Order: sequence, then C-alpha cells, then structure tokens
Amino acid sequence: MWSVIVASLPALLVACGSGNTPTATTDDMTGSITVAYSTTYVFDSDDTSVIWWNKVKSEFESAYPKAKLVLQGFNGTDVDLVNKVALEYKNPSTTPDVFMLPSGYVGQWVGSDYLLPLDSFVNDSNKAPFWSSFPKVIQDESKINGKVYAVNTGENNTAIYYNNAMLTKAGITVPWQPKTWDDILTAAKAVKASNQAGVIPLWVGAGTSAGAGGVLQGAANLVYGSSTPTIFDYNTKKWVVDSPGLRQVMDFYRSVYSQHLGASTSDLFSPKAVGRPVVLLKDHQLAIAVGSNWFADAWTEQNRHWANAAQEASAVPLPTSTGQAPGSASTLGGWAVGISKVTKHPELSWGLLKIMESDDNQTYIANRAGFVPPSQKVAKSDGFLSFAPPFNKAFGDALPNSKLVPSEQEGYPAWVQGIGQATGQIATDPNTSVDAAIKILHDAVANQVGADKVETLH
Amino acid sequence: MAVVAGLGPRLDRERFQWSSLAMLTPALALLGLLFVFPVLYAGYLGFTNLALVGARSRDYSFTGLDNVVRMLGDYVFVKSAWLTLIFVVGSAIVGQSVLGMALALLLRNAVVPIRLIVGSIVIVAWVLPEITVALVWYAFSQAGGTLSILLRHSDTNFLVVVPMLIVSLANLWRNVAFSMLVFSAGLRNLPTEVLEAAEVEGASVWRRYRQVILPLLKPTILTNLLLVTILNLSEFTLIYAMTQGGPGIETMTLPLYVYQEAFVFHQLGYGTAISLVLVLIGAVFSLLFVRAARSQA
Repeated sequence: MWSVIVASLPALLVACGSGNTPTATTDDMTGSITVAYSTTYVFDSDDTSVIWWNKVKSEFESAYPKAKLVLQGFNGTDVDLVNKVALEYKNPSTTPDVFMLPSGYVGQWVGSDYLLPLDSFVNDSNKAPFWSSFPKVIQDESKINGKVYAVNTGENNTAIYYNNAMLTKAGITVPWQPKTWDDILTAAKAVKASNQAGVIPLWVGAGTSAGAGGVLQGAANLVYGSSTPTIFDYNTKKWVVDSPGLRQVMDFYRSVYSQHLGASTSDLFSPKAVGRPVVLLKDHQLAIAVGSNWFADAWTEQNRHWANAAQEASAVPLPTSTGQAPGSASTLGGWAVGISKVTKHPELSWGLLKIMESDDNQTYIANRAGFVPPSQKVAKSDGFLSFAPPFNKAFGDALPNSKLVPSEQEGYPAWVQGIGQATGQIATDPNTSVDAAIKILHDAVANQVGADKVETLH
Repeated sequence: MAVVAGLGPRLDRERFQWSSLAMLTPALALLGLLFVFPVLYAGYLGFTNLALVGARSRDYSFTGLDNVVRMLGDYVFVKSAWLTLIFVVGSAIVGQSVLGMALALLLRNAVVPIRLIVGSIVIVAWVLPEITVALVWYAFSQAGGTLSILLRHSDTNFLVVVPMLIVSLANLWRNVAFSMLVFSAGLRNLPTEVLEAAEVEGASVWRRYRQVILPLLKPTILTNLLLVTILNLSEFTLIYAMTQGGPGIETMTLPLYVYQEAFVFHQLGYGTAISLVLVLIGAVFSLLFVRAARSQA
C-alpha cells in the first residue's frame, strides 16, 4: 500500500504545488544537488522517512523544474551516518551539497571548514520566511563564532511519562506533578510496594549501550536538573567530571537501583535500550519513565500502536533535584541542515532547505520523527498539537527550560562514555559508592581528553 | 617437429628470465597499490593526530611518538590489550584447539551416523552468520535466558556478571568447527602402519596419542594455531553485537577499542596507532608459530 501512496505522491504534489507559481529565477536554475541524510535513525519508521523525502524531492523538482535532487540516504545509527558522511567530505567530488546531521555535530563540521555560512540567507525574510518564528535558543543552536552554519529541522527534549492507573493503584494522586527527585523516588517506591505484577517502577537510562542518544534522554537531563547543571565549563573550556550536582545524580541512581526500582540490566544494556521504555510503557510493564518527546509519536497508529496512550499515560516536566529554579530541566538536541562550502549550487541548496523548512514539511517530520518543531508557529499549530495529544503540549511547554548539550565540543563522546560507564556500574552493582562512580566518570574523560581538560566544580 | 637435445637452457640450475619481470608487473603494481601503499600509509597515520571530523581532520600533523606515549599511559588500552590476550589465548588457542582436537578424535572413532550428525551440528554453528550467533548467545545469557534457568539463577544476567567468559564461550562455540575440520583432515592423513605398529606393540591409548599421534600431527596443530590466532585477534562483530565492549569496558578488546577511538571519539590517528599494535601482536604470534614449525622440519 505504501508503494502506491509513494508512487502517487509526486503527481499529487505537482497538482497541489501549481498554486505556488515558481518565480522566473527558480524556473531557470539548473543543476543537480545531493542531500545526505539518515534513512533509519530520524523517523519513527522507515516508511515515513521514504514518504517525507520523496515529498521534499517532488516539491523541489516542481519548484525548480530544470534542477534535480539526488537523495542519498544512509542506514544505521546517527554515529554511522556521521562517520560515513565525514568520509565523503574528505573529497569535494563526493561531498553532498546538503547534509542533515545531528545538530551537535555542526561545530565539528565547521571546525573542519566544511560548511557554508548561511547568514545571508537567514537574514533575508524572502529567502527564510520561517527564520523569524524560530526561538532564539534554536536560531543560535548552530551559530559558531557569530555565524549561522545550519538550520534546525526539529528538536528532542525530555520529560517524565507515567501510567495513570499504576500510580493510582499505588496510592499516588493523578494528575501527578513531582516537584523534586525525592517525589519521583517516593512514587516509584509506592509502585513497588503496591506489588503490581510484572511492573517496573521507574525507567532512567544507564550504561553505554544506547550511546549519545541514551545519555541525551537519560542521565544528562538529571545533570541539568541538579544543583550544578554544567557538563562543559565554557569559561575554562574544561569538562566537569565532579561536582555536587553530579554527586546528586549518582546518588539518585544509587537510590533507584539499590531499592530495585529500576529496570534490569537486560533492558538497560540492551542494544535497543533507547526504545525499550517505549515498548515497556505500551505493554503496561513500566510505571514511570524519564523519556524523550519522540516516545509519544512512536505510539501512533503507524508505529507501535498504543491506541489508549492518551487516556492511560501522562507526561509532566522533569523536576529539578530539590525544586530549585527554574523548576524543571531537560536536554535539547535536534537535527539540522547545513550546506557544503564546496557546493556548486548554493542557491539551489538553499532552495531545498527552504522547502524542508516549510510549515507543512516541518509538521510532517515533527509528527513522524517525534520532534518538537523549531518554528513556534508550527509548534502551536493544530496539525502538531492534535497529532499525539496530550504529550506534545507537555514537551512544547518544557522547551523554554531545555538546554543544549555541549556536543559541539570535541570531547563530548568521551563524556557520554564516562557518564554511561558510571551509571551502568551503579545499575550493575548498586553498592558502588558515589565516589567510585565519580572516579569512573573522571578517569574515562580524563583518559580521553587529557587530565588538564577536566575539572571539579564546588 | 624434431626435438633437438642440448639446445635449451639447463634445467638443473635456477634460471632467471628478464621477461618474467614484465609478466609480474601487473600483479606487483596491484599489490603495491592495494596492499603495500595502504599499509605504509596506515603506518604513517598511526603517528599523526588525524581526526575524522573537526579542525584536525584537515590540519593534522606528524606527532612522533605522542601516540605511543599516550598508549602507555592509557588504562583503557592496557586493559584492552590484556582482554585481547585472554580472548585469544583462552577462547582461541586453548579452548578452540583443545575442544577441536577432542571432537576430531572422538568423531574419528565414532560410528558413521553419529559422526555425520555431530559433525554437521558443529559445522552449522560455524556456518551461521556471526550476527546470528551473537543474538543467540545474547538471548541465551540474559536474565531469564536458558543459561540462567539451567544454572537456577534466573535473575542473573550472565552477560553482565561474567561478560568476558560469555563472549569467549560464544566465540569458542562458533569457531570450534574450524579446528575440528583441520584436525580431522590431519588425522585422516596419518600413516596407518605407524598407528597399527604402536597398537601391536601394546601401547596404551594415551601413550599412542601422546607419543605417536601428537608428534605426527604437529605441523597441523601449528597451522591451526597460526590461523585461529590471526582470525581471533581481529574478532569484532561477535563481541560488538553482544556487548559493544561493555558493561563499562569489560569486553573492550583491541579491535573494539580501535573502533571506539576512530569512529566514536573520532581519533583516527590514535585509533590507527592501536591497530598497528594489533598487527604487531599478530606478527609476533605468527613468527613464534612459524619458528616452531621450522624447528620441527
């Protein structure tokens, strides 16, 4: 059935697109451009990835009738995508004109001098009608040394999901709004005490198997909610490997795993750990989860269908450790589109970017890839809010307190590895002391970036 | 045409024909281009600070012995080298060879139907794609998996409790067929007269094995050791699919550490340097086996 829809899309879109008459200049622009992207890691299902990219391609080719778009999709994870495309960028002849990459890598791409500054495009409201509707935090996401190098296509942030009935059964009043981490532990303990068969009280990701994605939707949120919400100290240019906040995080993990409130290592360390809470929540085997906004879209009909998700589950912002300002915390990480510095067709490449950022395309990708759309106009539109109610609203509300992870810095993968090893060690052996867990983080990061690039905050 | 004796070159001396060089040129050129050059280039990159992305992906430089110095102070590298040694010696050299030999000997004496059935089962494990073996052993060793039920510890995740042992066993399970086949072939080619003579002389089974079969099989054993060492030193897929080097760094053998440095941390130069160490270890082992084989001859 998909193939029929996909095959008929171009015809449909050409028909729809005839209202927007392309200007004379776009009519005359010739050339072929290539866009590199992940086929398997961005969207909730591969089908929707194909649909979206074919839609973009046909819109592009009808707006620029003499131009051609080559779709270059890559399989695998975000890490695989970045590695393969990094090799392509080594040679101008294999460099794709446009690249959709995790926003955290933009800094390293700019460090390699691979990307074209886009200021002349984004500052022109004719060329970038969407730009003014982006909040400043997202406009600045790919701004390096004062220049914009990429445009965001969607963000992920984190909050708490919970199962209404399981909390009610445990004696917790719903709607539930935890104000501190202790509130979370109290609820998890109540769920455990209520002896609900086969129910894991609390999911909070640990270990290294889920990589950067696992930390983004797990431990890093707790660091941002702690009393020392710093991963990278931009003043000293050093990685924070010990702080009162990090110790709070390790202590929280200890509480979770020593009281058997968390998931088993089979789930936590599974190669599919990123998506495990999605399945566990849907299968009524999990009461509370620290999880990402994309979970909700994964429960829609096209994916792991959980028809009653909206009635059975709720989402609330993740509180700070003791309820300190601003009250809630989350990481922010997304995908962005950049244009290669060596492209022969910068205007055409921008033309593609503009089509990818149209309200319609932003809505589709946000709904099917589980993004909070960068445009506030789209984020507040019915097409987005009514797609997976009521969860999208909770994550949209959490956006102002969401903070980018310092993934543009070269040592970030080492910090990810370190925090994964430390939390994983606690999940394996809850008797691990906070000191020992901090030492694991310290050693892993210092070993990789050098002892002079790590610091302790007091 | 009549054959004229004495006009051709002498056949009892080594000859060199210049024209053979021309014939060899294409092969030499290909070898140079596709083998020698990449190896030398990798050797060079191992002494640079090249990165996959970022500023040092373009402006990298020769850093002398920096990578070697770093390696000596790198606790992950030291642990990783140690784990590699355990994996190769434990799983490959000892486990695979001993079990392979035992299987080959037992099957040699077994009745034909049993030999066929057992032989086929062992070989199926070898024919399975590595990723399949990884999944089977992953499921087998999880909490609630077959292993935990057999051992009456159904809450224990053995891949977390004894990760190195489990990946070594998985590797042994998969690769034992290779050694078994090599040894079976070796056993089939042993001269029967010698074995029969020993039997007639009244030598015990153990004595026949230790003093007749083993010495006669020595070249086969050495070849097997050389091959399994080389194959297992670079084992990546199985371990990566099962544990990704974890929990922590408990199964981070050198090939996985090379991958992590080069493609997760983007340190291509340092990753290459570690892979050179891997080559070096392989070369040392190979040299030992080749010398042992020569002393035999």
